[in-house]
Amino acid sequence: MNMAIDEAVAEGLRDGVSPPTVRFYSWSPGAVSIGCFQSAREEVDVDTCARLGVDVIRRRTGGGAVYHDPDGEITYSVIAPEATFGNDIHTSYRLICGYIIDALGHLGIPSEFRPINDITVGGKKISGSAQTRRGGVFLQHGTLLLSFDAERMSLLRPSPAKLSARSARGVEDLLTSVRSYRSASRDEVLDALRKGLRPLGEMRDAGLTIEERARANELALSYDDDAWTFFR
Amino acid sequence: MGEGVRRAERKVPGGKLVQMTAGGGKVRLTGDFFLHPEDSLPGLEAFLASIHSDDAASAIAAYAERNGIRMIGLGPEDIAALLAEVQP
Repeated sequence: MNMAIDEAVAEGLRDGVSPPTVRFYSWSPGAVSIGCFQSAREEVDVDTCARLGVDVIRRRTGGGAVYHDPDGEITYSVIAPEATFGNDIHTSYRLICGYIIDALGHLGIPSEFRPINDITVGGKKISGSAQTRRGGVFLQHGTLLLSFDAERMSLLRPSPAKLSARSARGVEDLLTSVRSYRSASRDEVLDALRKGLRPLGEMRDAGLTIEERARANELALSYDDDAWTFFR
Repeated sequence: MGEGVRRAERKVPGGKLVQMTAGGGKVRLTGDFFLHPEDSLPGLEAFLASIHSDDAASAIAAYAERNGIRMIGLGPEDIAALLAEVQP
């Protein structure tokens, strides 16, 4: 449903009926989202996901597979007119990731931007993001890891080429989380994210219109369709 | 794609993972890269199935230019290198 809501808001903005929006959300039940160009069966242990009740969702954005733990991460999305961020995709990743880095700074966690679309702490990824631009609308969504469940992360099957590029044996060598550095409640992290993203200016950050909800319900059907999830 | 499928992959330095499978006259690209617009991929794959790996990088770059495709985390030369690996 989360991807459907992002898409419904982006459509609404394109059609002039939705405002620029920042969303913060979690996934319940837990889910693995894969990039729109990835192969679900190659990237995800889909049988174990089914056994554990973990959804597998194909995003409309590129990028890699992500495990979204109900309690272990916050997902953000920024939906705004494309003109707000300019034409350069790399620059806009750097800009928005910079706001997330500021948010981590508010929590006392020094982090760095790792091009193209990641934020790292001590060389390990704590936040990743993915961006699309359609119909004059910019959408970037990304995650911030609050905690790390190694067992659930093993639902992901990163390519050996990807692991060896970072001298990693498994996902646990690639990732870190806020709570690896300090205790922090979800609300505390949300506050920090809101502060970090404040330079975006006036953005709706809560609530959806009835029309957005209705369109999201409609779009959710296509996200739930195995023909979409497993088409690659 | 079934029998006769050939596969290659590369992690682009400073970029993304790109995998290519080819067989039965089709080419499929997968990975954690970004293409804008996203729905340009099927057309790109059909184009790749129609060209030979000789001088493929410039042909892919020209195709992307003609069709307004932006590649993030990979480039025409990466796709061309994979094409050279999977073409018989």
